[in-house]
Amino acid sequence: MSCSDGTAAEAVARSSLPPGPSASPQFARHVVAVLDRLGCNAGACHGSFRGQNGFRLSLFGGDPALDYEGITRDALGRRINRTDPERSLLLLKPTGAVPHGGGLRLRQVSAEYRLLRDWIAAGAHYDPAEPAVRRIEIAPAETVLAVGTDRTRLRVTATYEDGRSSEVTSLSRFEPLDEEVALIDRDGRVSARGAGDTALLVRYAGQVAAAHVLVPRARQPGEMIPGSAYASAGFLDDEINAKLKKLNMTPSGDCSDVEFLRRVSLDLIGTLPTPAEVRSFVADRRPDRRARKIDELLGRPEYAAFWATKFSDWTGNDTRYLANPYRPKQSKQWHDWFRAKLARNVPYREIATGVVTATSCEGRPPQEWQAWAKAEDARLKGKGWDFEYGKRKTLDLLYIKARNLDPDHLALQMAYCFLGVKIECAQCHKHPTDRWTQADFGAFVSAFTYVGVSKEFAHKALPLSEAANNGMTGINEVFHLAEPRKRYTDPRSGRELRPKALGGPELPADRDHDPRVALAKWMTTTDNPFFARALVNRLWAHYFGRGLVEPADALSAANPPSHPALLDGLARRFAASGYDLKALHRMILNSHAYQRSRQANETNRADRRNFSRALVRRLGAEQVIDAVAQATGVPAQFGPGDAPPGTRAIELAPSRLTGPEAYPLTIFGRPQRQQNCDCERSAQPSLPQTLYLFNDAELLDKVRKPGGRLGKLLAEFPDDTRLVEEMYLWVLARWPGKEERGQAVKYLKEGARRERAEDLFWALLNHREFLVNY
Amino acid sequence: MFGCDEYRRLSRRQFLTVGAAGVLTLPQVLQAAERGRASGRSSPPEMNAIFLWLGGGPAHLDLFDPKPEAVAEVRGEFRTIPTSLPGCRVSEVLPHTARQMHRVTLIRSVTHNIGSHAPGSLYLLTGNRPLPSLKYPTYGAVVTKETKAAPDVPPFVAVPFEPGESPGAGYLGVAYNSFSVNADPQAANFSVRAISLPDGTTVERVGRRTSLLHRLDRTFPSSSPLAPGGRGAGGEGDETLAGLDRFQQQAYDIVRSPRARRAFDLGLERASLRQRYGRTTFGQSCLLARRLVEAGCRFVTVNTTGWDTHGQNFKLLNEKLVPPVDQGLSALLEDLEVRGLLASTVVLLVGEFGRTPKINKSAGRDHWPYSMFALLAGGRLPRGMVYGATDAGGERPKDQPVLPDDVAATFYKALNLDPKKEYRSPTGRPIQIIHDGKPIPEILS
Repeated sequence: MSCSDGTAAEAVARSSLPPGPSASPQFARHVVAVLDRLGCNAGACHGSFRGQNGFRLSLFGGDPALDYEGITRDALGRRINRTDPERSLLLLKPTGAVPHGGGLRLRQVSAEYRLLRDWIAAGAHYDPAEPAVRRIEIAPAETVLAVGTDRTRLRVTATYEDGRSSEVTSLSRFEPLDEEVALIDRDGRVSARGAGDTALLVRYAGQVAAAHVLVPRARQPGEMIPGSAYASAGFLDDEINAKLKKLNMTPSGDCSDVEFLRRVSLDLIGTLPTPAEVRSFVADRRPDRRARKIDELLGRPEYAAFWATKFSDWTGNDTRYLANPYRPKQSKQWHDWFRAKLARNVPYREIATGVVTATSCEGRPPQEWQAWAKAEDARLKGKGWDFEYGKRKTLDLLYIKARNLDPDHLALQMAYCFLGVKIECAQCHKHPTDRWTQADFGAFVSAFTYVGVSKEFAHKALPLSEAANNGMTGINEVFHLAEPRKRYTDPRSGRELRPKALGGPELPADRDHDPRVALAKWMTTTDNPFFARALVNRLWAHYFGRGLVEPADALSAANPPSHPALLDGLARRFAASGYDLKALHRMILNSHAYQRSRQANETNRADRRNFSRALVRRLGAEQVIDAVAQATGVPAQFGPGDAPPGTRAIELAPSRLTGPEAYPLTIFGRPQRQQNCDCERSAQPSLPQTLYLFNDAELLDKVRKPGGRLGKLLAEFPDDTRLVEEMYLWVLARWPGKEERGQAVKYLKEGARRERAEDLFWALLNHREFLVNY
Repeated sequence: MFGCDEYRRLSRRQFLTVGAAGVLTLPQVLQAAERGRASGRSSPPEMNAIFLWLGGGPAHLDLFDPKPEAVAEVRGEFRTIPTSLPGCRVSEVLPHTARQMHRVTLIRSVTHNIGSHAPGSLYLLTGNRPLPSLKYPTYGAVVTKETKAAPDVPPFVAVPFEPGESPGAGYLGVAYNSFSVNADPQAANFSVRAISLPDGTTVERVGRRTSLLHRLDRTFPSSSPLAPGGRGAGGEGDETLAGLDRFQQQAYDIVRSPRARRAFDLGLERASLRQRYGRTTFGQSCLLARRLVEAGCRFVTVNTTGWDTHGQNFKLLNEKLVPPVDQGLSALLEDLEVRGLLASTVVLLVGEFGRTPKINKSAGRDHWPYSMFALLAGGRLPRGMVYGATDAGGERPKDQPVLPDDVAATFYKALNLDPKKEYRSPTGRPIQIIHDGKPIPEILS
């Protein structure tokens, strides 16, 4: 938003602040709220870190003390004129009486003007002890509105630290999230614009809450709803269906078995099904064949490999920061660690605890660890790629990676990975759209200040050599520190912050207590508000192309879920299962919601957030590379220093790559694991991707390679119809339709068979179906 | 199709630019018209950029900020020479560039404090101090997002490849990544992957199999005009499919049309001009950059490495590093000017930091971010200007200190882009293209 947009001025004209607040307005509760409503403290205006024209306010009023300072002290106090309030710059500027870079924001005949003037006239006081707002509530929390005449008005109530509450609707700021569906004006009046559903954000005094609006589409007269439309495989479908019914949307029916097999194979094990798998699945007529297939895939080694790569992304397995000269091997140890846990279906609670609380000794006597480390170091130095690291209980590599980084880095990583919360804003200022303050951030980071990393080893258990690292080049010791390596203070009070969980209890920390232990315990208690939700939502986003909270790694008050009860229910069930990951995959994959067709009907064509049909998603980089390898019969080649021969892309550990596949993996969006963001793994299409499939010599060589798939098929199937069928099965994992078969056979017959077959193979690789999951 | 209205929409400046390029071909006019439409009548014309990256950190004292009066262990081994810009002297290792200094804006007072390659490079490649939580996009990605390129040329090309430390398109997403040439333009068998037609492939064959593809790729609605029954345009509202469609069309245009292939074909260039650019990777990369810009590409990054001269600084600079750059850069500036492209093309030459004024024991210089240079030319930038100066020892800016953020903001402004434009991160966080910098008013008002 620009600082000088005209709409604000119009809004000012329309504003109708009710007679409201008493004769003596309070600073935090009223004045800051008005500045927020007027847009003064937005990021593009005075809320910018540098302020604007020498006047700085805290972003969205997150820090009233700073605001008070800026208004009353800076600029020689000219912003306030207590003897002649109307001569205050605070009023002269926004009303345009003196030139204002931000344009007209305030009219003299408005309630906001009166409020600011009255506050100045009453002496422009600020009582820092003014009770803070603990939470805000919106009524109604969910509304169903019809397009056109229907309207409703939101009522906002604030509850203060002292337990009292008051209505603050006229002081709140409202924001629509999807203006195509519903609009909200400055006074909280909601009107429906188009069918769909959305949330409306309400902000007051640093608190954010959301209200949901559903605008059902109009059912057409005589619209048929198939009897099976709202079929349910349990609680998950019930929740999805309940909302679809409210919206008058009929979900698409189930996808076909062939579509299901391709979809679930790519989604669950990252792998295209082979023609043999397609044939045998289609031949299976048992009613529970899909559930059986899901179980079978969960038992395959690719399951653990593929999801270990996901966990490598989320935990930041960034090869650049590992210990020279074994960086790619250490990335593989990291990947192995997750892979071993996932293959045994170790409860997610234990996996997370193993990451958060990692030490090198992990409870063993130091001599035992060092003997192990010596052997593991020898394996790192050797030619092989087989390590014992996967058997460890804890992932100390994550701390070794961060050994030269600020503890901030660890806190951001853990919050992002295990809590699905982005707290980087609170590094420098109060999070503008969430509850986190700098003190919350500092206290949370402090949980990671009691961990040390040393090449020299903290525990001198064995007779160690004088050489650096005791001769074990690839090994560092991660251990609990008796004193924190860095101390954080509350920027407001200046007091030192003690370790604290994010929005949770204090964590005991001293020479006998590693605060990470209590942190992991807090995280993994069943009523933790983030831990289970974050993972459930990530899996959901993976399988549906969009999270219940979207973006999937940004759980926050300002980013409400599309299906709150479903998210809660899934999280509760996941926790109740003992954090059984495979059971969670199974629950989602066996739903009708997951198994829907992508074919839209008249009622759900526009839907993108209610899971009424399957969304088309681009394959991930590794899936593309492996699918090309499987289709062409030419295995992917990675740099000799990156992975052992025969490695598939889905099990590739390092983030930095050499070799021929480095280029396509990069352009298809394999993340470098440098950012704490799921968005780093890009799923967008791009020109270099298309050019690669369209005209890259390396790719075309795979099609033509002697001994590759096409050569074998040409020799084995002299009949063109059979040849076409086999090519479709290998590349697209389905049979050609009648029309397609006709076109393809005709094309083959029009020229030299081999050349024409190459063209057909090329066309199937460039078919949009090949590059997406649908 | 193309009528008088289209002509009128061309601003006078664009028309001059097109006209000045020499022969006014129909595609060029159409392309300019397209730009006119995209940017609206009153907007300034869209510009091109050539970004020359000196990875490793070039020694400012031995190139564009010599200190002939300083003591020997600072001054170094090179003498200074006068340039075509009165009063401005540069190191003697830059004899060709010295004759082009009247065309450039040289900033000698760039300063920052990140003396480490990876974060320093991120800073200078984006114009924003690096953050652990957010990956800013490199300049070319922003330009690709903000401008419209010719339909059959990749909009953003890196020669020979994107700098190793580059964040690519960062938070803008891979759709705006550069197209890496991944080959040495100096090599005799130089060919560009996915642009050059692989052995056994002809344009006819590409056309034939593309039409087969369009007959077969009917599962999803298509917006491609080539597809029978096309222009059904995303009935299911799927951006992924729409994107695949768009890029497939673009890939087809690029591969089928001779324009990109010709642009990448350095063999079409006069031998004498190739010689003038220098038969080096850098020289031929600069020539390729000019050809690409001429063909409608919007942003070309030319990447060089090896400037991290901790030892043998003078020998390396004099014998290996500088001559290709001196020759390539000077030829580029001259050639752009001769072709009338300098008015619509901005050149920026920079590395991640300067190097220590004090020479170390290995006759080298170490990392020094506190003072460094940036060289700009083209567009509305002043022709022949030295901005800022370092102190007598070349250690810190003496006056007019400039942050990398300001250099970047000036670069964007010269490209007629607003450095304060706000994007949204994937999490909805508002981010300005350049967070902290401002265009330097004395350079661009």
